[in-house]
Amino acid sequence: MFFVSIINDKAIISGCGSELKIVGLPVMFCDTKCVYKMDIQKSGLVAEEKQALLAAIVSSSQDAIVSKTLKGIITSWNPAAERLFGYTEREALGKHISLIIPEDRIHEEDFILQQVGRGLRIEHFETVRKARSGRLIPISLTISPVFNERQEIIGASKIARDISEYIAAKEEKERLYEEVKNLSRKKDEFIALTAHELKTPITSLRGFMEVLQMHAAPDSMDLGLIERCVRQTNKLTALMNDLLDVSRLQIGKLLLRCEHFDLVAMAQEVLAGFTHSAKHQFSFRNRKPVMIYADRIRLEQVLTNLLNNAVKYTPEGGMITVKIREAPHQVDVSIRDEGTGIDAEHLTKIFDQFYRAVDPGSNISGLGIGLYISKEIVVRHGGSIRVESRKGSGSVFIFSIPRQGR
Amino acid sequence: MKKDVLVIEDDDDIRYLIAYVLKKEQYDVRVGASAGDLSRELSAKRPDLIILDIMLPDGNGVDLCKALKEDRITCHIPVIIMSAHQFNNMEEACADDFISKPFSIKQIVASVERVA
Repeated sequence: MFFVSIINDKAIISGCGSELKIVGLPVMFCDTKCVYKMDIQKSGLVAEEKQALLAAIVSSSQDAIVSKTLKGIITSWNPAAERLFGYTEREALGKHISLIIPEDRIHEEDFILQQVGRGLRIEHFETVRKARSGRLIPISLTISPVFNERQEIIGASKIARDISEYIAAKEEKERLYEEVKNLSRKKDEFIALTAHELKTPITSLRGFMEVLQMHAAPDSMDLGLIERCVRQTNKLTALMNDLLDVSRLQIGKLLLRCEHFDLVAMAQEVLAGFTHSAKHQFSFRNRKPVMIYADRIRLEQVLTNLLNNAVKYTPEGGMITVKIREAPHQVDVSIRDEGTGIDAEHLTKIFDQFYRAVDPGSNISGLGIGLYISKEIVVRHGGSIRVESRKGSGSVFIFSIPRQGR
Repeated sequence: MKKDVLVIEDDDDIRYLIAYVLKKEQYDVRVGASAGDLSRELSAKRPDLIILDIMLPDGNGVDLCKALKEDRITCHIPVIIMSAHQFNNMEEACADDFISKPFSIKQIVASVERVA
């Protein structure tokens, strides 16, 4: 396919394809951006040859090229126009251009003729024209005024490109986009519904376990078993809460309830939950209070998530170090582990929803939402989170929170 | 004298659990599974406290709570609303407390002690 326009005695041919054969003048087209310019005046061609050249260009064009008078009467009709609209040259010549304009678009012609009458070009005007069969064809029109020797406008030349495939592809893209959006919405609804439906059985399970725990004899084996059940139920509750958070994040319903509190005291409390049962060593040396204005429960959740990850990936006996560092306007919290470390390829994606840095078949469990939720919580505070890691040498996660909220 | 708590919850197990825990805490407990049960139990005897689930098969706990608080006869009865959904309009429902599922039995006992 190629495109041709004739301006000021220059035939400008652009397009792609292997070869265009013009009488006595073979022209090669190599790529889509190739523009072949030929100065007809300087080419040394005589009037007859020029005419033959232009006729050949028009006749071999893959795009329909039509010219008309200022009153809309068709004065030329190339073979591509015959193929596209289904009228032969003989049938089309002398007819009004409304021959191929659908009734509801007749007004476009007034606009086109008005523009052309003022000597203006119209480029890539997307519209619809009607073929002889009645089929509506989406086309892109480029319309230029035609001048006589006295530089008076005597008509218009139109190049019409069939863009059916382009329009179909565009529509398909829009359809697919809508479908993906719809599926994503259904996924969010499904997550919300599943998490919600899990709440009722988990509530009663947890309640009955607590009752059994109260009644079991101290030091009995039963108590140990019940405590394990309670721990598993708590894990189930945490997973369900994570799923609910994801669905809240998706619909923008994760709200922050900010208050003034001491971040160091909060971190000590969170760490206390890890140190009594863990098989790792923890180091946290901050003592001086660090007051911030933030959602305490949500930041506890972030720290718990990061510590859970550190524990999950650090071999038994390894050291996990938490540090809180004060900057003038923000507070940085870092969690360093001696774990397996993270491959560079995972580092940029690790905070994405459902992204897991381990293979699905690996024995390290998780849904791939903990870091995503953590990032979203930090970002909603106006803060940021990052990770520094090298495979085999541990990781350090650092999140920063503005001291005075956002 | 033992306080009389009316528990309206459509899930059998949760209803059983709350009744069990509150009886152990020396409350008199009556139970129901629907808005219809609530109305029947109220006409039989006015309780000292109502624990009301939001999603009932024949009604919404928030609307029921509002109706109770607008009625001259029942407006003084404390109501604890219970739901698996996040709940932000406790004031609108005129409830005295709210318990979010999943809850621990300690939370239930603490809420009842606070409100009753």
